[in-house]
Amino acid sequence: MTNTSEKIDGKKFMWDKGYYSTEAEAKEKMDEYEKDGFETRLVKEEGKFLVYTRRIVTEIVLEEGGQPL
Amino acid sequence: MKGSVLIIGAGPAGMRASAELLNQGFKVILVEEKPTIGGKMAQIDKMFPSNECSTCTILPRMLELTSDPNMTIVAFAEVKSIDGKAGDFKVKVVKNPRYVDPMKCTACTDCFPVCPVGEVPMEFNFGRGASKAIYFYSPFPPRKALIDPEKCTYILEGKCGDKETPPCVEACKPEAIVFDQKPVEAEFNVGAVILATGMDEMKTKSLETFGYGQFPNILTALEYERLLSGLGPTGGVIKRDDKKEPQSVAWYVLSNPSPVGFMTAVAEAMGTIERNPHASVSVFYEDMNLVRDDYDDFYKKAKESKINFIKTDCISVAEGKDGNVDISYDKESFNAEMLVLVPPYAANESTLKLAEKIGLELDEWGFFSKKTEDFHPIHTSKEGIFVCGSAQEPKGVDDAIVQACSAASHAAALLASSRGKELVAPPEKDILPVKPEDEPETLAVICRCGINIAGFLDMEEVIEYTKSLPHVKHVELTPFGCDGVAIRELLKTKKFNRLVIGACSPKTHEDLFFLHTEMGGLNRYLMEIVNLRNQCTWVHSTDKQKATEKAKTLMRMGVNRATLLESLDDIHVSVTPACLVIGGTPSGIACALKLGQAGLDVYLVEKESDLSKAKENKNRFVEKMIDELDKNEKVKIYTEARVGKIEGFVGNFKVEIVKPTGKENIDVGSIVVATPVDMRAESDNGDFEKDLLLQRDDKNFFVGMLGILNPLDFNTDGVYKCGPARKVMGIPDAIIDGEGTASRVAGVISKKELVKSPTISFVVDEKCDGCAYCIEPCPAQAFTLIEYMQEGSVKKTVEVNEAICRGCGVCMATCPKEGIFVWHFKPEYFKEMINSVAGSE
Repeated sequence: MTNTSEKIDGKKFMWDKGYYSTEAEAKEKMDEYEKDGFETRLVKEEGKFLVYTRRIVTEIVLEEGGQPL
Repeated sequence: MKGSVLIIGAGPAGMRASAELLNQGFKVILVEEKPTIGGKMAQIDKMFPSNECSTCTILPRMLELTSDPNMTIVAFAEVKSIDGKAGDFKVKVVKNPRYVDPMKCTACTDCFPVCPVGEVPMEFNFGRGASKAIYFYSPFPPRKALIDPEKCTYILEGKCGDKETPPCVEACKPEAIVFDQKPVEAEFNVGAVILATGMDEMKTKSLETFGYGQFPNILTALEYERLLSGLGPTGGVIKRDDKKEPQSVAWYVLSNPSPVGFMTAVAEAMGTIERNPHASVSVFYEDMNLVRDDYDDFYKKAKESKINFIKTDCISVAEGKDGNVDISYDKESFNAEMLVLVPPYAANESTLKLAEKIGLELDEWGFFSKKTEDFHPIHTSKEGIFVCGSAQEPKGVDDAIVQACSAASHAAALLASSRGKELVAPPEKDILPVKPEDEPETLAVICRCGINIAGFLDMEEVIEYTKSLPHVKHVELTPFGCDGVAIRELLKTKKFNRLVIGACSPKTHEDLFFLHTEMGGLNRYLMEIVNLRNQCTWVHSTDKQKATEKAKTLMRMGVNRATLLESLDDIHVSVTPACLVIGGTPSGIACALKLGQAGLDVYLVEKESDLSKAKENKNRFVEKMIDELDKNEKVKIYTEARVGKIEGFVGNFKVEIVKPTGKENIDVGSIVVATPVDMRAESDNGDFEKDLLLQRDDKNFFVGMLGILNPLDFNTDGVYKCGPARKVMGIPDAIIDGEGTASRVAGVISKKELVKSPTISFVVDEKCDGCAYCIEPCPAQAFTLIEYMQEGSVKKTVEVNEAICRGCGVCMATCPKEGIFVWHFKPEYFKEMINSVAGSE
């Protein structure tokens, strides 16, 4: 079963839930994500290519009616 | 150069120096003249000025030391001679006979009740309380029986009882009693020696002037500590020798240049009021000598507790009615039911004998002194032999700890080239593989804890009940679980994949029980401690039936939780072998120099253009250190520089150094703050105080980790403080502070990696939607909010920094989605424990 998250290079990356048949296809998707500021990683699993992404959020906005401590 | 150090004296300073050196990669031999370790700290109730319980503080440290394979404790022994030179000493030690083989003794205490010789006054309790001729010297390790040869009938007369075999030998199943045991000499070849022989009360003839030894109910301060101690002869209830509980107690602090005497009286007076708020408590004193702000704060708190402080040049004492004491002072008179005398402290007898044997110079008070041109308090008149703690001069526990760290750094610097060379690898662990789906097979070990547990519970009932609990395959009763004997032996059979220990507090004993669990071959996180002592027998000692019922409930909760536990593996964090020292103050310089001498890389950052420009550095000792620092290749000094932004965590800090010529980034494993109190970090270049989560108190000094044993530590792992960052101090103390901090740092950066507990937070990605409620409440700031792409949409989740997460559980409590749990503390464990109480048996 594919892991939703993976630790790569000491950082947490999340799977985009896509299975890419070729490396080229996966890399095309990675380029697309990188244009939007995501870091990406490529993982090969059982002949398929998986793309993982992450982007640090610097400004945190809590939902209204936030959970009290 | 040898890679080991011999330490004489196992009080707080000796034990701490041992721990520091073990942590830095040196083997340690700790020699103690008494049969058990702990020194005076093991005899006192609470410590000033923090008012922490001495036993609770020191016992876990003792147990850690006794479990370290590179630690050799030689108790009940004396040093006979020290020959050789720095780097290569030959130390001869003579072990006194216990008449019990400590390798065989299991501390079962079966020999105690059968010994016909009773009413033997206990030396540890200063003659109060009574034991048999075969006894434990104290409640502290090594917990091995010994026989008093001056009381034992068999040793004195060759016969005991009606039979040929003495009753103790018959009762001893491990056959540990050896009546013909002789003193044994051993020789140790070490690189350095640390003297930590402590101090004693000066019980001279002058005490008789105040009725000591003449009238009843007049004690010294240390004798009174044994009455305050819960492990003392009166179980922590203050009683006179006639069993009366005094309603008025007075202290007289004899003239003493050290503040230790006055502070001792204040701490004891506070302890008395805590036990009896209606008691009349008075302290007569000549001088307070309160040299520290926190001592002054402690005194002020005592005044608010309605303790009477009476300044007087002298008191005179007469025997009063009914065992009371009549006190006269300044034309006034006072009657107390008990009088406690606080004499000055001096070097103890063993220090004097030792100095003579090994040719060390002493000062007029009997403390170790040094060559006059060498001011350093840690040095003695022989190179390679260092002194620390109260053997140097009377001091409180926290000052003794700092000096112990300093002595350790001196030994480490001397033996730098031999670091790690004599270490013994810990024995290979043969851990039973346990899968979550395996049926639990639980071993329950219930500890008698002497009489602490067994004296207050129906043990048979608790044992039979525990046997009936689900998945429990075997229940074992043991006299003292902390010795690990029963735990290890039974686990090694590989028949059990869970362990439940019905014993004392995890707060003091968890690390030790973890160790025994692993040595027995079971993953430590498959072990559960049930606190039958602190949470049951200690608080319900007057109702055996109810205490037994509660014990059964606690065991049920623990057994049920244990069935859900999972194996966990430690986390390994790599370490950058370098240190940043912020501040070219005397303590910063001392810290950097000691680390450089120990062969470790250091970056020292100073805002002035030259280290010798700062006015506090215009001192010949500091100038000499600066000179040595300049020549040390391991030290890089940045002048006219400030520290900018700092990121990262212990072992892996990324630091920005801001210089006139631009910025430079460095990587370090540890950071020391040695800045003057008026220097703030915040500037346009960054705020390292904020980056490292450092806080200041209302006097602007940095706030450190709680606890008297942590004077140099911050709450932030890998970050330490010394000198003016901590408090006002003179140059000699500042230098010792800096050197002590060097030892703390070396314990981190001398290692290739740090091992961290796996009981940290885990994010359940299926449930986490990145609401971020967990981020702000986290005291370690261990969470980062991240976005990611999933099925064409931007989603959010959080990432935990495993290196800095402390597993406190605030995130788990805050998360509204059950999206985080702390390993080993999953919510379903607590639900199971609650159901164990609320549900049926």
